[in-house]
Amino acid sequence: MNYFELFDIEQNYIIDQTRLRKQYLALQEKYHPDKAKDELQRHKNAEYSMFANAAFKVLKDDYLRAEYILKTKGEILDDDKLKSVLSTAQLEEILEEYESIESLSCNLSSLYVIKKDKIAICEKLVHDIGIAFSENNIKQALDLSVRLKYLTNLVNNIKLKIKNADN
Amino acid sequence: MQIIEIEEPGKRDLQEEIVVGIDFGTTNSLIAYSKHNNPQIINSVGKNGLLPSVIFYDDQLEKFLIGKNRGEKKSISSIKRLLSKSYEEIKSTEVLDKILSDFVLVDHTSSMPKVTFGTTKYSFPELAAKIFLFLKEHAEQELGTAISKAVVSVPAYFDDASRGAVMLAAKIAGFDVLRLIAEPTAAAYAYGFHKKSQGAYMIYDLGGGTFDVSILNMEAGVLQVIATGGDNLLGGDDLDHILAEHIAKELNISLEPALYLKAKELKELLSFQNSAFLNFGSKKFKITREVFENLISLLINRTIKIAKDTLFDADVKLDGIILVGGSTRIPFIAQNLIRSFGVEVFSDIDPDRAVVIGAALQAENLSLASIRNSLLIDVLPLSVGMELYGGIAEKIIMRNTPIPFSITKTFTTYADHQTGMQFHIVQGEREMVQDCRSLARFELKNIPPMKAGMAKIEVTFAVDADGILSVTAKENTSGIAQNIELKPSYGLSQTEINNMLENAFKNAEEDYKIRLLTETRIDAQNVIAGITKAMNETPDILNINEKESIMALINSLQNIIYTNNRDEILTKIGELNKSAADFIEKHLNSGAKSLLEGKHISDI
Repeated sequence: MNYFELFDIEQNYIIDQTRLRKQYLALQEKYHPDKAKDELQRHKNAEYSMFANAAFKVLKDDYLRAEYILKTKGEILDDDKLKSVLSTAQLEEILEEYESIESLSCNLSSLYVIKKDKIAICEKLVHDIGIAFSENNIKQALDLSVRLKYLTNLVNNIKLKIKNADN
Repeated sequence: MQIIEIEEPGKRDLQEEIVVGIDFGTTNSLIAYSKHNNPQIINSVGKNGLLPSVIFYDDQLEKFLIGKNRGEKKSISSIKRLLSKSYEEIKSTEVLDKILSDFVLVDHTSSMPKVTFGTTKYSFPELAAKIFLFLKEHAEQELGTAISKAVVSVPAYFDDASRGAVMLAAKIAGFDVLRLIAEPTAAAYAYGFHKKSQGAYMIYDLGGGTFDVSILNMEAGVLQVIATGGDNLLGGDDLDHILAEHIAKELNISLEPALYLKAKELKELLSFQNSAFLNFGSKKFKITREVFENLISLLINRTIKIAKDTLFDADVKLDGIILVGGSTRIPFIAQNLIRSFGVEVFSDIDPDRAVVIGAALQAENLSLASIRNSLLIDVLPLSVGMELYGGIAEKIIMRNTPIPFSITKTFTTYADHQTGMQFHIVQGEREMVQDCRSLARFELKNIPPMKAGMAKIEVTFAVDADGILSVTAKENTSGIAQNIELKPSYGLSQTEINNMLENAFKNAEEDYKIRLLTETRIDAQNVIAGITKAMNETPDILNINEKESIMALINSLQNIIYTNNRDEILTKIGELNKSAADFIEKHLNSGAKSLLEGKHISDI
């Protein structure tokens, strides 16, 4: 059973997160080990519950979900792949972004502005990945997913800077 | 008087077994149970149902006394802080070392440190078990039934080893732990918000010795922890210490245990009034709330920072803050929280009792195991990782991952013909292994010799619903699968665990006596209730003299029912049964008659 089937949602990249969450909670309500009546069932439930937790973690995350679908299409996004998909120019661009954030470490308001910008780009990427998958353009989906991965890391880095500047 | 129905033999076993909730706290411990969602705290364990978590060893009696003599020589308070600590950790941390200042700590390099009492050495879980046992005995006395199952609360921030140690302590005391529940989760559960509204709440829990903060999402009967944080070496006791140091400096006196107690009293007074006085010997000391707030502001700011960081991890919009732990009675804390987070602060439930109430409710919930009940989904509090070459800790399961959770990673050999592989499992957020907590080391042997990178070793990390980790390693390239399983070991060898349990069962004799006494008391109550009921139903069988002589026996049995003399209770039961035997027979014979001449006929 794949993750989409588990939660009974359509096998698309773009999914209804509210429905996913609802289905996840419903599954846990039924199969969490605490709902077991005896030791044997508790063991079985632990396995179901583990599977549901692992599946939910992947499907609710925009990058991990793309990675998961790509894997079913035979494209495994490991470390080597992540490094080789982007061109040197693209990688340099990302490194520059990091440097510019570094120089802004203490400027809270600019950090917020950059964060907002980058999140908007992430959302656009997610939208485009959805289109690429629906057109079965795997090459395009792969490229965009890798970009999403780098950009998500960048956003997390900005958030961390904001957190440190805030304290 | 409450009439107890006489039950058929064996019928009592069919009743739902009561599962208790236990809050094993750094400062105080509590035990409670719940029936029909109505939680009850066992009040006989101490003042207001709070048992001071103090273990005192009486050299003369060669016995442990629990809950007394705080601050006196030869007593250990805050044992919870020590539970899974190593000899080095204790010796190098001042607050920890201070707890044991009256004792000699013995280093056991291979396992847990131990403390000597009388002629016996005890590990920390064995000592903590004394507190669990005390709670258990009092609950059994009050409920009149044996108790063997419990839900035990632990700080959300407790690592695998500490959780294991709590589990072991409860086990030594004879408890089957159905579930470890995070303290803040338990407190949130007590508030019951999950049943009504949807929202994200922060639980700010400043206990005696630990500070915990958790962010919980509540919706549709499910309570899900999204993020936890805290500091297990920060608590209300530290506030007492800061105040005691201040007093010592102001009055130019030396710091002594009695002063800490005085400081604690002052602290508590300042939660309700703007200034407080204290007489210490011939010296007088006055302090205002403002001065006190200045003294503790650094420490409170530290808790606020941890709370902010945890909220950052959770990445949600907060709907409210729930206060837990006695120290949150300090108004300064709520003021600071409102200022920093701009949300409503809840403190309707006694902050000392919220955790045990939640644990008891969850205990009842689990004993029913019905689909219709609410559910708690907990998270892994600290990342689990593995040591890589160069002492780097590679995180395998990230903290705040919902549990239960399992993940399988494949590793390979790095040298030709390598036949063994070492694994070092750690827990913590730091990058280097030396800064994380070491959980276990194990070695997979007999890997068939092959070229480097050819062997495929699958390692599965599984965390159960209690947050306890087990690791399985398997090499199956050659088709020969071999398993190594790492079971939660609490940092102890299996032999040591067995020894501890064996020691615990030596005390089982005493437990058995208490159980017999409890059962005898219940028998006595049943006999009295049965005869009283029969006398009420058929008042005409006995003449006044007979009635009086039976009543006299009942009274004399009732008078001794709560003494510890089981033999005497048994004798009196025997006497009562004997003297009432004739009456009971006639009463039962009249049963058939009264069926025909039932009251309802005469009522017509």
